[in-house]
Amino acid sequence: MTTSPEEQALFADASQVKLERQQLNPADTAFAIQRGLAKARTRRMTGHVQLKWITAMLVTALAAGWLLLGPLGSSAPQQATYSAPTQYWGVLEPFRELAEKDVDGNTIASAINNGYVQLVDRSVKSGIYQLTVNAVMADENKMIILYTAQTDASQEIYSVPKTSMVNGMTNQSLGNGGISSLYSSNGKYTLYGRSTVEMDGNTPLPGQVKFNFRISSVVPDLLTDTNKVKKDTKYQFSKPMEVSFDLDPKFSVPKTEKIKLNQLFTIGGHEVMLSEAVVSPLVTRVRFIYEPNQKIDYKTKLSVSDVVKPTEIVSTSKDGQKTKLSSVSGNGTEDGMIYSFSSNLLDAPQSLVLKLHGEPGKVYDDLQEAEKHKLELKIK
Amino acid sequence: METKAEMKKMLFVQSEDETAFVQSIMEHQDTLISIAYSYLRNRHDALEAVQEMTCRAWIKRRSLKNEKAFKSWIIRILIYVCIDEQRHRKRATPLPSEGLEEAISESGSAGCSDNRLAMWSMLEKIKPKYRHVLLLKYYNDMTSIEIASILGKPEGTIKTWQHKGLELLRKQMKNRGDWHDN
Repeated sequence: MTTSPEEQALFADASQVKLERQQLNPADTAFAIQRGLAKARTRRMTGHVQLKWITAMLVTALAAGWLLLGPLGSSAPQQATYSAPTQYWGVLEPFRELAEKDVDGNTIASAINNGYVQLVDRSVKSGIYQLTVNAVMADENKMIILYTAQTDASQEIYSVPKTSMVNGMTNQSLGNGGISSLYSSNGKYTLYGRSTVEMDGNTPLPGQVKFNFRISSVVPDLLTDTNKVKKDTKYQFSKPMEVSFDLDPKFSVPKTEKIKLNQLFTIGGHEVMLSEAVVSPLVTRVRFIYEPNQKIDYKTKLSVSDVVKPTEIVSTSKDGQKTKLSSVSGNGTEDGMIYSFSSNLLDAPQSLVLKLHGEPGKVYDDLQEAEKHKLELKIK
Repeated sequence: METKAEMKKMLFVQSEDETAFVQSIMEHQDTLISIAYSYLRNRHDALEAVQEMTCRAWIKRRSLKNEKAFKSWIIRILIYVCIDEQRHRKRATPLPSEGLEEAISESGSAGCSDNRLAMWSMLEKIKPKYRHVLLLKYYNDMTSIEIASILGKPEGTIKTWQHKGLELLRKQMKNRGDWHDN
């Protein structure tokens, strides 16, 4: 079969386009589809809001008519209630349970709901062990990896005891400490986990990330005689394993808000300043300066640390919905402390209020009473 | 012939079951991104187009008369989205090739020849209906029957459009005498 010059030109161009297309990550397409559904939901909700507005106008007109012309009946308009639907997370749906249990779950939920996530879907296998990096989310201050660890049917999975993240280009660690793992299980052979590293906010995000880890499993007890004393459970560890992946440049677009606060307050006889808050998609940090007007020694610093106990940040959305952002970590500084909390910046909170224990050391009869005595500091 | 499982799944397309709907689209994700990329030649725009297509498809899902034609239906929506995006580009950028050049450099094809840009520019000048056929056939390896199903036209019409599209392309290539010299 002969092809014309224009067909040859088309075939040549098409083969180039196909080559480029092969560079696309199928996980990105899958997530685009999920984002499309989320967008449709938002449009539908906007339609509902418009409908509610029209309804409200009609109700007002009817009420005005009722006042002017006298009662037409005894029925009163009922107030419509609306509860936000749960957003479908697609391939990340298995991580919902983890997010619900996780102290940093609100951050994960906010990021996924707003499409601030990169689906990775890279696996590595070694013997009976397999780990898949399902997704990653990152900003200047923090990186969270969601993964699935598995063993084959010969041994039950136990944990992912060691994880670390390094810059794939320089092999430098992406952060000191702050690495944690938490998982929920699905049967005996699968764990869904997250690993987090906090960064200083001043280093550019890497183009490539290497995720290093080991998986542990339970060695089956080979003794069949149940009358014998049960031996201690034995664990087996995988060799060090690694998954590397390119990080989506979208995470490098700065989204961090720095809010200067300089709010002075007294607690436990000490003067403390809430100097600033740093709010990014994945973390909210607040900085305290202890006794800002005097030089303090280490002992005084410790005693101030004992009384400054932030518990949570309450984030309130435009429609009045409140979200509690839990405290996730804290680091000492030269003049005080920096505490990190979850973040839902991507949900566009209208206000953020930091809560601290009001009377350190006091034992309360119930939680409501303790709540009443909490100190509240407005961040925004 | 569709299996019972496929039939059952299709019944979910018009329901409120988001999971089944997403899964039905996911099954065609390679085809969808491929078509979007052939129209827009840019990773970001192609992904945006697939996202917008899903959004429109979910909102309009009840207008789908024949659920067996689901694949053709979503591809048709995707093509409309891509056309909208191309129109938007024309309005937004005074230089038509600007976005493409950027897209090509983004895709990493540093050795991209002038022919590449020229082909895109020529395809853009061809009537949309002819262009659809050329893009679906040569860039997405679709048969005339498949294209006919997507565009809702008889197979004979598709063949005519392909022929006319190639003819227009040939004329344009002749006008560019340097085509084969590159």
